[in-house]
This record gives sequence, C-alpha cells and structure tokens, in this order.
Amino acid sequence: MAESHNSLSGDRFLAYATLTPSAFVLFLLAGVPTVTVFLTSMQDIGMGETSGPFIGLDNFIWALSDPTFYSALWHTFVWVFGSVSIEMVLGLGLALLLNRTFVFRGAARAIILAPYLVPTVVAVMTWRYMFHDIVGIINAVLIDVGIIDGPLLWLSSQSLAMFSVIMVGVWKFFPFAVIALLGILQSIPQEQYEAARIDGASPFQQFMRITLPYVMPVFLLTALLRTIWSFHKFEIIYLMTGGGPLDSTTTLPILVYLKAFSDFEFGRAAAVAILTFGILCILLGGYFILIKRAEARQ
Amino acid sequence: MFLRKIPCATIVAGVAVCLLSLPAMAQVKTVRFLHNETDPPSIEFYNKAINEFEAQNPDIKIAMEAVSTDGRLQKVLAAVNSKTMPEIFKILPEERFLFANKGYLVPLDDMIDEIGRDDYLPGSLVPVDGKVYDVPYSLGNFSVLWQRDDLLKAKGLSTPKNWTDLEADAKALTGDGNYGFIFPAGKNRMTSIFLSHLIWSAGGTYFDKDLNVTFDNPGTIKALAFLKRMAQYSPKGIGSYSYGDMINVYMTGKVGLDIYASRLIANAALTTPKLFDETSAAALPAGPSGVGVKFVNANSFALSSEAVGAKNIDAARKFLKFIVSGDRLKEFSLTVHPHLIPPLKDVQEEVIKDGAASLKGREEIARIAFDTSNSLDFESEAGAQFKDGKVIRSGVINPYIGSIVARGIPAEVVQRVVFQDETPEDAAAWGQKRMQDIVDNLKK
Repeated sequence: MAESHNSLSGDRFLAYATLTPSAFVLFLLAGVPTVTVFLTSMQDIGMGETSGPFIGLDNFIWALSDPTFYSALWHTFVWVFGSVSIEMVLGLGLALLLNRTFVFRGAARAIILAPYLVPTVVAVMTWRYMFHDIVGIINAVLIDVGIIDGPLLWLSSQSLAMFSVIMVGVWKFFPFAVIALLGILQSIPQEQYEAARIDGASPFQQFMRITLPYVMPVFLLTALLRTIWSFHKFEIIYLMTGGGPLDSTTTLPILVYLKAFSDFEFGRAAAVAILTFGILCILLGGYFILIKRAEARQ
Repeated sequence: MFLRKIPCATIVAGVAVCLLSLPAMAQVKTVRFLHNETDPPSIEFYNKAINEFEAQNPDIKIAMEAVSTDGRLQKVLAAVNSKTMPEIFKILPEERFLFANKGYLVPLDDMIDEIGRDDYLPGSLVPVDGKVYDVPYSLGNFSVLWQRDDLLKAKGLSTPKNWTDLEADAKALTGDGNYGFIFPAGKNRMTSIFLSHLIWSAGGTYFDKDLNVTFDNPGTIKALAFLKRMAQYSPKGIGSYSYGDMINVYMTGKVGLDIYASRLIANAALTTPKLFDETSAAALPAGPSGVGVKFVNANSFALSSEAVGAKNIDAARKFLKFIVSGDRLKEFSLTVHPHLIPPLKDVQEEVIKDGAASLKGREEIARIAFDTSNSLDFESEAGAQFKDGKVIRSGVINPYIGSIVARGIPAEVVQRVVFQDETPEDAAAWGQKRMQDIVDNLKK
C-alpha cells in the first residue's frame, strides 16, 4: 500500500515537473499581458510612456460615462450578431447541401472553403476595390443590370458601411460553420432517417426532429466560437473603414486601437479592453447555458 | 567503427565552424530602417542603395521595413512604447518637436554640415532648441492643380485662378458620369492636409503666433463652406477617400480637376499615357486671402536615440548620410518624378533635367511641382499671415498640432460638414473645443 502511495506521489511529481515548463510559458504568454493591461487601465499613460500616475478606476468611470463607449458597444453587437447569425444560417444551409450526393461534390466543397484560406489582408483589399464607388465592380454590375441608377456608397455611407463590413465578414468566415456542421451531419445514423420515412415523416419533419436536435450542440458551439472571434475582430473592420465614416463602424476593438494609437490614451484603451473582456464573459455564460440545455435535450 | 566516427567528426567540425564564425557574426551591426516609400521603384532604389552600402561596409547590415503612410505613426508609437525603435525612421514635421523634446532623437547637425547646410532649400531644415534632429530627403507638395485640358477646352473653360473660377469650372465639368472635382473626406491625414491648405488660403490658421488655438475663425468657416459646395461636384464616395483614391479615381478619366501631389502625374505617365497627354499642371487657385497657400512638408528621416531602444547609432548615421545626399538623393528623386522634390538646391536642377524624359519632355510640369513658395505645413502654420499674395511665416514651431492631426480632428470636422449637414460654424466650434482640450491636456 505504502509502495503504491509512493508510486502515486512519484507519478504526480513527474506530472507536475513535465507540466511546469508549459505552465510557465502559458503564464508568460497569457498571464503577463493580461496583468499588464489591468495595471495599465489604472494609470494615466500618454504617448511614449510605459507607465504613468496611478488613477484608480478613473479610466473605467470615463468609459462608462462616455457616449463613444456605448456607441462602440452597440456597433459591436450589430457586427457580432449580424455576421454570426448570417454565417450560421448560411453555413447550415450549405452544409445540408454538401451533405447530399451530387456530381462535383468534392469540387463544390473545395470552392466553398476557399474564402477561409484567403489571407484577411488580401481579401479585405480586394473587397475594398470591389466596393469602391467609382472603380468598384459591384456598383458597375448593379448599374449595368439596372438595379441601381448611381453608385452606392458601400463604405462611405453611414447607413451602408456596417452592412458592407458584415458581408465581408460573412464571406470570409462562413466556411468555418460549413466545416463544423458538415462534420456532425455526416455522423447522423442513416437508420433514423429510414425509420422516419417508414413512419411517413416529411423531409421538413425529418429535419426538425432528427437533423436539428443532432446538430444543435455543434451549431451552438460553433456560434459560440464565432462570437468570441468576431467580438474582438479588428483587422477586417479597420482595413475596410478604419471605424468610419464618422464612428459608424467603430466597434470596441477599434475604439481600443483609436484610444491607444490615435488619442494616445493607453490607460483608457486598456480600460475599454477590460470592459470588452467582461462583456464577452457574460455573453459566453449565456451560450454555455444554451449548449448545456441542447445537450440535455439530445 | 569508422562509420560511427564520421557523425562525431562532423558534429565537432560543425561546432568549431560555428564557434569560429561567432566573432564575425557579433561584429556585424544591424541597422533597422523604417520608411513609408512603398512604391515599387522606391523599394527597388532602397534595395540597390542598401546593397551598395553593405558592399562598402561589410560590418553593417541594413534591415529595411516599409510600412503604409496611414499606418506609419502607429508603428512608430508602438515601437517607442516598447523601446524597439528602428535606428532610422521616417518622421513627420509635426512629430519633430515632441520627439526631440522627449529625447527620442539624436541631433544631426554634424551630418547636415558635412552635406552642406547652405545647399538646403530655405525652410527645409527646422531646428528644435537650436539643433536639427531630422534630415529631409524630399519635399512633398500636395497642392498642385491637375486639370484635364481636353475637358476644359470642350466646355470653353480656362484654368481656374481662384476659388470662384474653381467652383464654376467644377460645376460645368460635372455631369454624364463625370465629376468636376475630387477631394478626400475620409477620416485620415490626407483629409486634414486638404482642409488645411483651404483654411490658409482663406486667411485662417489653426493657431496664432502665441500658440493659442484659433481654429474657429472666418477662414476655417469659409473653407468648410467651400468644401460643402464642392462636394456636389465630387464623387459621392469621398467619405472614405484617402491618398490613393485621389490618384485612382483621376485615372478613370472621370475627374476634371484634382488638387494633389505630383505622384498623380508620375503614375499617369507610366500607366495611362493618353490621360497624361490630356493633363496639365497649374498653380493652386487663390483663396479669399488672395493667395493659394500650398501644403508642402519635408519628408525626413530621423535617428532614434538609445532611450527608445536604438542600438547601432553610428552605423545608422553612416547609412543615413549615404542615402540622403549625392547621387543617391538624385536617384531616389527620379524614382517617382516629379513627385519627390529634392531638398538640396544643386540636386533639384539636375533632377528636372534628367527627369524630363519621363515626362515626355514637359519640364514645365516639374517646375510647377517643384515650386514650393507660399507654402506652410502643420508645424509652421501657427500665426502665419497672408498679405499681398504672399505667405508670411511667424517662425513659430507648433509643438501641439501633431497630436491634433494624429487624432484626425480636422478630418472629422470635414465629415461633420459634408456628411452630417452640420453648419461650418458649428463644426468649426466643435473642432476648436476638441483642439483646446488636447492643448490644455498637453500643457499640464
């Protein structure tokens, strides 16, 4: 018994010893920046300074009382829920289509995955040109086919800019939803569909009673991941519009960037970053509850 | 046995070679060089210059980093904060005072004297507390009027001499899918530049000579009202336009009048020969102050100090002198002729002569582009006066305006007027308040 206990302690020691380097690296990569941001958020740090006077929660009070924060928060919700909801619906639809047997199915799958493989900067620059009011192909085609009379201001109109950015986000990331959902669709036992057909279930009923419950946990998990990634997505919006026109596409990550590198208020930028993190945590809590429920139902 | 010895011998030999080469590797000094001249010919020039320099100085290695104009400041600030500044970097005039005072820069007076201080164009060397901290490699003139001679002729119009003519010509040239005018109105530095030369041409300045904020002045209001009117004759998408759009849209052949830097005509000469033939350069139309005030700023390189992480400063100084003087300066200026105006007088004339071929012999284009008289920039505009068709500088260097421009406040003022239908008076008052807040904060 004592020997067994010693062996267990030895295993535990070995486990800790082998984990320590990874844990140390993880702490360096994740812990140090997080702590630094927290410390920065409580200081008044300007251009060219790495530290400044300690000002407590002043930066958080500023953020929570400034309309720009709430405006950015609203734009973030529009961006996240706009892009994630379209991606998920489109992703599910295409996954269902690709799950069927048809000629060139392999080629179709490869083509649909292509946007996900294009580097973001390349994709955004290409879309910027396509959206351009004078030299862009989108306006040219729409005018040629008679849908519009004059060029639409995809990126410079306050009412259209967010829509345009969401469209690019959807184009770039819907393949992720397709991959995830196609995987789970292929694992549904075909016997269930056969039994349902024998019982006279319509295709819609089969979808609602078999397919949807089966894919729902993965659907929600994919939506959760896409929400996390979209919430702090920066480069697509910044490269497309820079947060403009005026502040119509300024989301929280863009606000953090502008505060830090345009206003040189690093403390305020850090405070907005931490508030963003807090809001994301609340959202994730909600998603986890939904996933648990979906799994329980299954 | 023999076979077992081979790997051992190889490893020992490899280690020995590595150890022997370590001192040599340690002697090579790396100089990081950050700039925003991302044109392929400019990159080609720098690669060639770096190869030449490294061949002459085997102990120095140059690591070039080319960044976009819009992203340069952010890159520099991130490097300042993390103390990883490249030894040589592109600096803007409005950053000079702040960076020098914070100790981020190394004085360059000895280098300027070696090149020839008297050969620099007046105003191109700007001392901070008696010392010069940046060396110009070109001047940028953003205020050349490019006009479509064929379109003007077809409508019986002539070159606009003042704002009234400009507006009338733009109006007449607008229609049938064409635009009489174009200006940038995105939230970027180019929009701030464009607004600035209009404010000055209308007799206003951002600051007076005592460095009080004077943005909310009649000149600003006239400039904003003018832009609001000119928006009717410009593409609707100007709200996202920056540097590149001023050229790209002109290249479509749909724009009649375009006030921009000479990169426009350099690109036209290369890519759209017909448009090049139909385009001519003209002086900036005069504003209500009686003069068309150009926005001309020096494109300069500065040397970072050890305080922000620079390491091989002497080696960097050697390379910097190599690229901003002599044949290299001339070669560089010719890469995008007549866009890059050499700041050295004796090089200017050579560049005009040697570059004439790239402009199909039209030397007059380069002479108009190289005319930097009656000009201001952000740093020198405080307290400037406009009398008898001339700009009189106050000589005051403004340490605050860099922070205002970097925040995009002038550009946002333009957007408020052009897209939000705010009155010029309200937008100017909003800009004044934002600028005053920043200055008050900086003075603390």
